[in-house]
Amino acid sequence: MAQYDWIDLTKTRGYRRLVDVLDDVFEPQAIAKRLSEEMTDAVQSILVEHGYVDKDYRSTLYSFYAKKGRPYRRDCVRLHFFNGLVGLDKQRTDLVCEYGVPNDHYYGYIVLRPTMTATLGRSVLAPGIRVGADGRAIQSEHQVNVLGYPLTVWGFPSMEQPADIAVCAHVSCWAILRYYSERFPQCREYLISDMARLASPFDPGGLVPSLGLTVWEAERVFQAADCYPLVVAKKRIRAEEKDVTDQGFYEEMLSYLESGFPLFVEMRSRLHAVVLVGCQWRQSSVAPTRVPSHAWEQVDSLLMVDDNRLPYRSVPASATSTLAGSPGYSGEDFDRFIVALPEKIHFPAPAVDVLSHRLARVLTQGFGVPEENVEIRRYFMTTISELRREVRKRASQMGDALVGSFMRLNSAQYVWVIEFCSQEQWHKGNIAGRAIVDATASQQDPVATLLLHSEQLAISFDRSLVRAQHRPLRLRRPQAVPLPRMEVNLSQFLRHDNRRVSGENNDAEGR
Amino acid sequence: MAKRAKETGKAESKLTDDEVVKLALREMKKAVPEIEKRVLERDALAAESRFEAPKTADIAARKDDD
Repeated sequence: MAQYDWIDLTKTRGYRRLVDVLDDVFEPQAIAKRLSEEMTDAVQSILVEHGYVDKDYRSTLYSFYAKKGRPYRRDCVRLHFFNGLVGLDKQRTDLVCEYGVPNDHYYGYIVLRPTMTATLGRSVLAPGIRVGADGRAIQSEHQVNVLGYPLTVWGFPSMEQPADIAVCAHVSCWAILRYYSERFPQCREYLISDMARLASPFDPGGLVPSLGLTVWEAERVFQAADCYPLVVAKKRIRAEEKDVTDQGFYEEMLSYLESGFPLFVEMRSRLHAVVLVGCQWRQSSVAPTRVPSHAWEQVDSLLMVDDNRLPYRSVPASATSTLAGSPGYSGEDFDRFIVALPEKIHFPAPAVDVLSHRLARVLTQGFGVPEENVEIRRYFMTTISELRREVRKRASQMGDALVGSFMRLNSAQYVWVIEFCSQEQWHKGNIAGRAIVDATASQQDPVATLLLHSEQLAISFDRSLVRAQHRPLRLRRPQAVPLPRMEVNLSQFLRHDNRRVSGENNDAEGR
Repeated sequence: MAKRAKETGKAESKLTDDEVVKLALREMKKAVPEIEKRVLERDALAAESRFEAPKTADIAARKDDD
């Protein structure tokens, strides 16, 4: 039967009160320890929803746990996290808060599975309540129904690996596919028990999934789920080249991440798979180490959905990150990633990289843009409708003529956006020039570019005819108004934190 | 002109608009064989790694980090 308990975390024992209200099959002591270590003080109360039916746990119960000698319960528990401005009226079984809108105080939920070990199940948490998380993340809106209230939370789905029927790689595939099904109506929903089945051409049974997945089996999961996965590998560096890194790998990784695609990342040294969902720029921009440089050099940390932790774990991007030296892994440990692309992407990131070098020359030699203003390049994919929304939002900065050029583009659904700027412009969030490239273009297409513009000149390329007239357009923008950088696919999140925190281990004592 | 552009930080070109278009078309055409080469190189790296396929089943990672 559904029952509800309320835990006020500001009172004595804090998260340890979970031990009083939860059965041992949910591992309440371990869960209380994890939550107290990894949640910020913004979370001040928990609604415990007993008897919750979780579709993902049920999928493993029917296909796996029900076949075991030990009996497993059917029901789960769901923990809902709120700030301190809401309470539970037990008499009326109702959430009470000022203005009667509990959604304003909601931070998401965690499902606990009755499996005695690895009990932390399907979760969607607001990134701002995670200790140490900072930056921009891929998120989608999740609907939650509790006590008759439709609540919403923006976040990325995650869970701890059940370990026996699914391990880190299955969970990483599931998290990406669940994000897709929540974000895009055309994508169907898959349950955690589907992952092992999709990875194999036959029924893998109960034992084989616990042995893990290779990156190629993970690729198969995405293929079977009607995505178009691309595996990208880092160049193996020989021992005598130990100071060399495969910059192209990281630049490609950032470009797909900034395109809004969560990435399945493999770390060979740890036999581990995680999901890359966001990043944080450096507080102070760094001088490019080569010209033209790439925005990857400006990334300080990466946000991971790692099944061994609560989501949005912040890890150093490289050895020069401000988090460098913190325990755990860093971006340097990544060996391969999978990006699950839509069907209509034909122009990959390395092609955009090559083209961006050529377009930088056009900007400097043709448009007269100073060389230092194209020293940092950044590129990402988006849809033409999202691009136009962003242009409309920034119309006053862009100017009428440039806005008109974007609105009149004869474009496919997906485009690459390439931006060029100086270090100073990067720091201020401005750019010197931008190109829009057809993401469905053939790699042999001599005119894959749709639009190239600087602050004062734009060329719209007419691709309807081989010998078309490509018309330059003087933009007549005010000289003092800089062009804004576009950040469209990752959302900056607000940190919900009632105190200063500095790192994973700065947990709340006595909670 | 280039010196003045550097001083002012603003774009100033000595090419006519038609010459800018021609330059853009020329540079984009030059990119085509470079694109083919780069895409094949990246694909070869993934293909080479096809037989290096450790299973990812890290249950103990949390302990390593603590």
